[in-house]
Amino acid sequence: MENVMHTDTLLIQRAQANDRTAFNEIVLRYKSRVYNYISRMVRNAADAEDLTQETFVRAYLSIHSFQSRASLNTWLFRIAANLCVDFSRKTKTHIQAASLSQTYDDNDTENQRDVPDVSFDPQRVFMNKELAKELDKALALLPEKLRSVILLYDMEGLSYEEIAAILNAPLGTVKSRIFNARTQLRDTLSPYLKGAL
Amino acid sequence: MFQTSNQVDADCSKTRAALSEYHDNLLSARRIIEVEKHIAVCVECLQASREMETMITLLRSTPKRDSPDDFMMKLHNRLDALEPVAASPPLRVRLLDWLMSVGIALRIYRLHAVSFSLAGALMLSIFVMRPPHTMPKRVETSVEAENPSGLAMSLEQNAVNATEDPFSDPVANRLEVQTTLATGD
Repeated sequence: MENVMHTDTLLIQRAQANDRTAFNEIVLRYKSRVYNYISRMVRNAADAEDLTQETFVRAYLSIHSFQSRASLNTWLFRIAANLCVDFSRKTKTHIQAASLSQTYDDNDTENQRDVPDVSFDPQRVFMNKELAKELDKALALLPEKLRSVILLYDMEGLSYEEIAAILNAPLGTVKSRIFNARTQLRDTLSPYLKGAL
Repeated sequence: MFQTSNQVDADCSKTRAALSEYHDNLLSARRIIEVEKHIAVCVECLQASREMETMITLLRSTPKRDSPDDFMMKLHNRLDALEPVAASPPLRVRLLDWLMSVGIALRIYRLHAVSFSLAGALMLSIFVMRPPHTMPKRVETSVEAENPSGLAMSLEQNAVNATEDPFSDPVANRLEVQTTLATGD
């Protein structure tokens, strides 16, 4: 982790000296993580790509004002999180995900309300496409604030402190949002999780 | 030990509230023992704990979505379309540059008088902006302070003096005596 920080610092210094190759390296290093976060926040591939591009364009334009005290991924996720909030305000689609009934009435997932087979192998729970699909839907049902923290914490592996810095929220708020997000996810996925145990 | 149903409910809600942090290993050792003691005897909380654990593992192992293949090409096109960004030096460097350019300008144009005036104005402003001296507290005379009736006595004495001959000056009288003695020789 320290090495990553070290090389990040070098890359930033070079990028600040208008070295485009160094900036490319930064993009290659972080584009998947940023795209994964944004795509789960906005749920539309085209919008996710646009916002990810915009994240890096803004990073490029303001790289000279970047202070090396902050970590690069915290800074990039902060730009991405702000863009998602702006996007949500503009489009007024408060990821007010469809109701449960609408979600499960999709043609290709007719039987998704069924509890998975009891012979479900817990060792293969992560490989189970059906459960992964249900998780995606359950994530989409979460309010944006809860979804944002759970994506940053459980998917991106950031610490409470880093998330607090990204979202500009107190540490206690981050903790309670993580707890609430997990509780809601567990409640939504409960039938599937029971089968997975 | 016998536990009431209310106490069991309280223990359950307390345990479930701690499950998220329990699986993140963020609880204190004492709290971990409390949670584990409870889930050892409560089937519902044990089930909730297992579900939480499975869900966290699932979240962390969910495949990541990757950006489209042409992402870098599109980004390059956007960055190429931007104006080149000039590096902006930090504030400290800019301030030093400014001071140096002022100094050079003064030297070039032989504006010694200006620089001395500026220095003088600076010193004057420092002198003027000094915090004012505090006035010493008025010291009351012993008569006034210790004996209010002394004030009345001194006023009375002044009144007596005023009724006397204003030209009778004891000092002048003494001088006159001395002068007389001197001329008497």
